[in-house]
Amino acid sequence: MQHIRNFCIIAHIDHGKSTLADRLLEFTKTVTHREMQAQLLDDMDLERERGITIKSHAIQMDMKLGGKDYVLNLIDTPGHVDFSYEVSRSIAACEGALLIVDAAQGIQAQTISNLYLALENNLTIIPVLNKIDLPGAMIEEVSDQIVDLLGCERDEIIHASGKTGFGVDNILQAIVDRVPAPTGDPKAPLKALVFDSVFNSFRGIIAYFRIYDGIIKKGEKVKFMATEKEYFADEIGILKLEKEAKSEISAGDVGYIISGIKEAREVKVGDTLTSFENPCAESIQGFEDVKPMVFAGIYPVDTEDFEELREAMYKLQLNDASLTFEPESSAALGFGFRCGFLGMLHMEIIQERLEREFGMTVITTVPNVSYHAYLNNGDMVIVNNPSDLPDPGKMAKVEEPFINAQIITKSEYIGPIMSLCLGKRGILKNQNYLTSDRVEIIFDLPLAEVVFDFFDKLKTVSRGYASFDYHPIGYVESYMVKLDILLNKDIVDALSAVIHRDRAYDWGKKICEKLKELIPQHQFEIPIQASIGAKVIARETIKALRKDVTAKCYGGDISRKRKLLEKQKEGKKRMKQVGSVEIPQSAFMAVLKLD
Amino acid sequence: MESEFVVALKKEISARKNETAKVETIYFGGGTPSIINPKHIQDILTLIYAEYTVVDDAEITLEANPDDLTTEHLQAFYDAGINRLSIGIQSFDDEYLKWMNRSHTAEEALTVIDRATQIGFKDFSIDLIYGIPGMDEKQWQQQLKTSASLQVNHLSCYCLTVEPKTPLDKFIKKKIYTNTDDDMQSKHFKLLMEMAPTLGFEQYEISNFARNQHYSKHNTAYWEYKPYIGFGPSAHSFDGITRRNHASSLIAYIQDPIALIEEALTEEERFNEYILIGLRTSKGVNIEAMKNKFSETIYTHFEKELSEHENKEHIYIQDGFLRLSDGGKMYADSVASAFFLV
Ligand SMILES: Nc1nc2c(ncn2[C@@H]2O[C@H](COP(=O)(O)OP(=O)(O)O)[C@@H](O)[C@H]2O)c(=O)[nH]1
Repeated sequence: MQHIRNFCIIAHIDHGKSTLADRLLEFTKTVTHREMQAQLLDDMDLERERGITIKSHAIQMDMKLGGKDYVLNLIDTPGHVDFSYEVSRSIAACEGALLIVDAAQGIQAQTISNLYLALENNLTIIPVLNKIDLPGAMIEEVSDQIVDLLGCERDEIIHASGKTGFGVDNILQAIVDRVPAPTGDPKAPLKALVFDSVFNSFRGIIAYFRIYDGIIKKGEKVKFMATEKEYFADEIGILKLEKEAKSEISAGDVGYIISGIKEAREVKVGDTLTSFENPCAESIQGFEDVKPMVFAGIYPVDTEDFEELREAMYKLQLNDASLTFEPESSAALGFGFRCGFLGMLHMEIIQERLEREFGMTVITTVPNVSYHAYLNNGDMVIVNNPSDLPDPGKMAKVEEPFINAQIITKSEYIGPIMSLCLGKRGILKNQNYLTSDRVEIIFDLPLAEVVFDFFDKLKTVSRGYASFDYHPIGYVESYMVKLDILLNKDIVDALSAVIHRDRAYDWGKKICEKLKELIPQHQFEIPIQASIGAKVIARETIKALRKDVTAKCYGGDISRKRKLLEKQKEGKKRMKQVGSVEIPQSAFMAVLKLD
Repeated sequence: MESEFVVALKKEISARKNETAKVETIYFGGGTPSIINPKHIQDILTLIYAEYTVVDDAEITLEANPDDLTTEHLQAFYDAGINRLSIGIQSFDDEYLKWMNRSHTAEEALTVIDRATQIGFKDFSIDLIYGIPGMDEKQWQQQLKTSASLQVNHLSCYCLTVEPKTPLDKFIKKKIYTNTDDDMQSKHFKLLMEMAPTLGFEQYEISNFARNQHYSKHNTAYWEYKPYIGFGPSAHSFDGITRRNHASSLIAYIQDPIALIEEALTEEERFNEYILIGLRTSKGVNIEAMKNKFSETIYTHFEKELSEHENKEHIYIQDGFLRLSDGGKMYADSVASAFFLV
């Protein structure tokens, strides 16, 4: 075990994590330069374009140093709060972390919560000042920041450039020297942490694990402690560029298991893998069943594509266990699914994957969190869909989920961040100065206010210099109402939202204005109304189209006009008809981006 | 440039002489052909007569701006064989002429017909624009009355349309000009449809009005989906199936006047066009003729749309023809596209 080092990389987006990881793999000859062409650790298309690693992966490197052979396991971590639980499990599988900081950007707050997570798990932190080849590198200044943050010595900071390869040898040396070798008892019963799983269309689910104690042998019967499912270890192995099958893997090491698991749901990140014959006494701490935080309806644009959408959702769920869905129907949109997501980014990813991998264009309805409505008789109703909110007359109270948010920022941004949080119905809990100009602000916030555009707003008001992390703290009674949107007097159920009473007026007004902009004129006037129950709180009117006739139609005009009208008709086909009003898809989407 | 253009044009005219057996109308239009030296018009007509079989009573129209039509030029055009003038009067009001950036005055607009009549022209069409911001119904009414008082037997009335990316569009976006008003424009159109018959003008197409059946033969051919040949930059040709057109660049045209961009229309596209233009005419769409022109699938689609049309009051069938009601004319594009196959 003395020769193993398990580590991850913590970095703000674009600080060079992927590039540097590539250099490490090259230096250790784990992959050749040619194989490197694609960024290896990010192997989903989607991830590459977004510049974030959605799902963690792992890769093993071999290295000779000072005459000894070492095995280095690099465990990649996703970089978005939607996936914070997965990050925490990846970190829990390591003994060390490289903290990469862009020398031209300095410490960016987004990585700080991951850094804290690493410190909480007692990881050894190796600070790396990256991109020192840049002319704008501020070596002294950023080194000061790192020293401030970590309380480390200046000479512990390694200077590197993922671009030129400078410093890569020092990084590897430091990993060997500074990161402790794993500890654990190979003779004890098998105890391994599942930190990730991926779906392979030929092999089913491949689970990635880190062994704490014991040995896993090919063919043995294993058990996942949380799910209580048992399987045979059909194939086990280590992760190089390709999977490398082994007959056994021992304590301290990282590996994969293929055991005929077909669906991602069957394997839970954070679960403990043990032996069926000789199970360990206790599972590894920290397992959480990740629950969806945001719910929204997903509908096919063309109602006839419902079955196709169902197929696609099933397939997505095979490799994304955090996605939940159940059929629902809407008067406006027909048949679709009420889906649960980890967060807004997750929701966007699902939407994009449906589009890219299945060629399905979908309409997503106003996302909402899960409310608890208590009826007068004491019964509790879970409200994942605005239409499930009981009649106010029958309802004793509604509770909404709250989170505890930790925001770390520079002192100059306290003001705007405070007003942002207060504007989102936040309750200030605490405020600490970490260093002379770094502040930690703790707020309790309604989750509903956070899921929408909170990150974007936070980024804007803090110029990107604010980290944000949160955890749920339970349900709090709130004055929630159902806001309906009526077009030409008909309720468009897909536009209804559960919203706090104090925010309803503003929301209603904005949504009416937006719809007025997006719904094309009809030959009749269309009133747009926002209402709570029978009470209209906002209204707009789309004027009737008085005429629709081309002035000149000779020779070449004919085909020009024909093409234009054909295009319009094509667009109209994709509109949804509610009552007599035709609503473009963009109108359903626009509510997601209301300012 | 002008003579180079004419050389190219002549080259094209000669090169394409086998495309038609017989020429019934000739139209000099698109832009302002009236600024061209009348001698060139003469040359071109001579060439067409030499290369093509032109029928005896051919309609030969020249599109012209009032200020280009001096007595001298009128005489020359007349001598060259032009027998119909389509004059871009636009308005009899200096305020609106200025607004539209026209170079002629109301005075010139009023006198040009007389001048041309004296030379011997008998067939005139004039263009008018309505729905200009600030123009009220009374003013529009006055324009129509003035037109009727002149010796013109054909009137084209166009609603001011703001095409994207034009200077007008930019001015409106920058709020230098007031935007057009949909309500007001539709009122003008209604007024036009009501008044035209009282002034002796028959609305034989959405934007075209004729006195004593002096329909534009040339434009009627477009609407009847007949073949035509277009010469010059941007000009379109149509043989009943394939549309061909020149690029809009004059320089490219001079370099290669025979280069044509082809676009074969699918049956659906031809159907769409047929409906689009057919509905615009007072004659309407000949339902029986559709059966012969299009496949059964398409005809079935047409019949289905006909029976399910959402705005029944916009259309009616009479003597086997599908026509737009006056209310339907306000929404001619929507009505047509409802029938479209896409
Ligand atoms: N100049 C310079 N650019 C780098 C260096 N490392 C990465 N980059 C560039 O920085 C950007 C982000 O790098 P990437 O590795 O994708 O960052 P990640 O988001 O942290 O994985 C890319 O455009 C890289 O080409 C470096 O050492 N020097």
